[in-house]
Amino acid sequence: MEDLKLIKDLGTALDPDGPAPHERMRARVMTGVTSAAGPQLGWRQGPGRRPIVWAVPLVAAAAVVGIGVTVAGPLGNQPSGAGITAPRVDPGAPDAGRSEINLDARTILLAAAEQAGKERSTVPAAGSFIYSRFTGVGWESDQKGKNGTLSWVHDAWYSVDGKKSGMGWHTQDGFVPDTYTEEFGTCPGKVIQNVQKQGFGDPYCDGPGYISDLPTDAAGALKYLRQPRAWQSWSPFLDGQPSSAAQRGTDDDVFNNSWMLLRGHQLPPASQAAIFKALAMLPGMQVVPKAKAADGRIGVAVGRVSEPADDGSAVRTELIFGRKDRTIIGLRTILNDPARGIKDRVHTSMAVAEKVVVSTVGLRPDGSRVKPIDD
Amino acid sequence: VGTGWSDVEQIKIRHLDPSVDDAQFVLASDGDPEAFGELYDRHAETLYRYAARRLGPQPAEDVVAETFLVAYRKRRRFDQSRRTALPWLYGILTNEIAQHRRTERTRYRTLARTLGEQSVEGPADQVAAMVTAQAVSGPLATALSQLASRDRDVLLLVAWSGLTYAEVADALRIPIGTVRSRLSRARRTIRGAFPELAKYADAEEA
Repeated sequence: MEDLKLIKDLGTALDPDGPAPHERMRARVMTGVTSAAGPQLGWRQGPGRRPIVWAVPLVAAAAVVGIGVTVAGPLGNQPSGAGITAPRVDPGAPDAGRSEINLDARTILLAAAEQAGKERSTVPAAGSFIYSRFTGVGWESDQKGKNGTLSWVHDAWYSVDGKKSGMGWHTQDGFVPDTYTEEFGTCPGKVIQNVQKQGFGDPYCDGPGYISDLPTDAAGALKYLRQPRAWQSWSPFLDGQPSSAAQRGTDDDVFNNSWMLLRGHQLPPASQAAIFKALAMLPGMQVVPKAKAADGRIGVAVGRVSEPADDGSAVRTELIFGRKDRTIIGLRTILNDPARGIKDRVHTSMAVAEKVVVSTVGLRPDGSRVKPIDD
Repeated sequence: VGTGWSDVEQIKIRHLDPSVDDAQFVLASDGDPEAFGELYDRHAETLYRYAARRLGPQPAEDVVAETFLVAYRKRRRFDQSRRTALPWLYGILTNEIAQHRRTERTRYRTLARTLGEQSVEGPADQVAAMVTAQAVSGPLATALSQLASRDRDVLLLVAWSGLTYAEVADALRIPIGTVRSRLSRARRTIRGAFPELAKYADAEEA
């Protein structure tokens, strides 16, 4: 079979020097596929989008993290003296810089709504807890100029009926900013010190974990999502004060509140679907066809970009959906800071690991327990 | 935990399943276009390398992208009993490449010239091997350019894609006997360019 071997060798010699230009090719394919699919699915293509505005991008990002870690650079309209440090970036992010509008955000969100609506409706028992875990990776720098990468695991227990104290448990490894042991925004008056590699807990005061009264229509859900939520007062950058009225109810709040509700709470399927439909009503959504969550899963992301701050920096916050079933799998923030030469860097990335109902606060699905914080 | 887990309910944990068949992606893409992206992610690199060998990188990019778009349009024709969509995709790709026959022939002729003109440097044994390879590659490229396109399709699918005869038949929608006859004819032509390979031709005919 010498002749076939010669041909195979020739084929090897003719192999292209590098990999296929997948970013370009995939975008081309998916644009064609999506445009071909839209009418068949009965989904209306969204209107032209304009850039959106984020008033307090990294404060919002910190709220999304839900742990109030020392974050942020002078990227938004944070109050002065709020413990702001230099921005965080992930210089090694392999999939950064892929913001392309080549899928329709509305289509993705409506698909997510459709999927959510198919979920089996279950009402957890009163007295139980919604347990959720998410993992995260990020990069931070502090006011002393130090920086580094960090990873964390965050467990949360929300009281189903809101009548018991919930709890958050946070374990982190990696870089510790010098301001990290400052007061964390949790329930008012609660001061928690970080214990590196050992974890710390904080009470969750924003129950109930099962929200039965969230509207089931898009307009109603949008109105609900514009209302201030407890976690909006957690950020230490707001000096422990709730967001001002001017900062409430923005599209950014809608985006962040959606993530917080979806990742840690249980909602009736119709309400969950309504959240995605509400998000589909927001202008300025972008799509990232291939976004990696903190656990390595690849999804398709729908994101919003902040209005550039005075120094030109801006953050895009992305909700990451499973590429097959459109289930929400994570969230990440992407930093653009031209003054520092930072372009499309992954700033933080989180992934929803699991969500179950447990009988006791502090109980994990693997049987381990965390001692509740006595508040 | 004891009986405490009786009230533990998985709410929403969905992990991607890497073992899922291509057929499921094709099927799912009917309601979820992004599922087709999974199919792309699985096979695009393989198809691109094959196409790049035949046409060069730039045309390969075009034909592979077009292959997936055609595949999406024809997704309902895909045989759902097939575990892999690769032969089906190769079939579509072959049709796309057929629209670039002139480009392909020109590529082989150009290669035949350039491969013979390259200088060789290095240790003696490596130089000898490379000179031999060049001496073979030039005429081989010429021979490929002279093949009938149908024969070349079969030959290169067998040699470069790694498909079995049955899969090639499936890809090109021809009987497996036709695959064998076209392959045989193509190989005779190739061997004709290399008298020293005549003995293999004799064995093949036998």
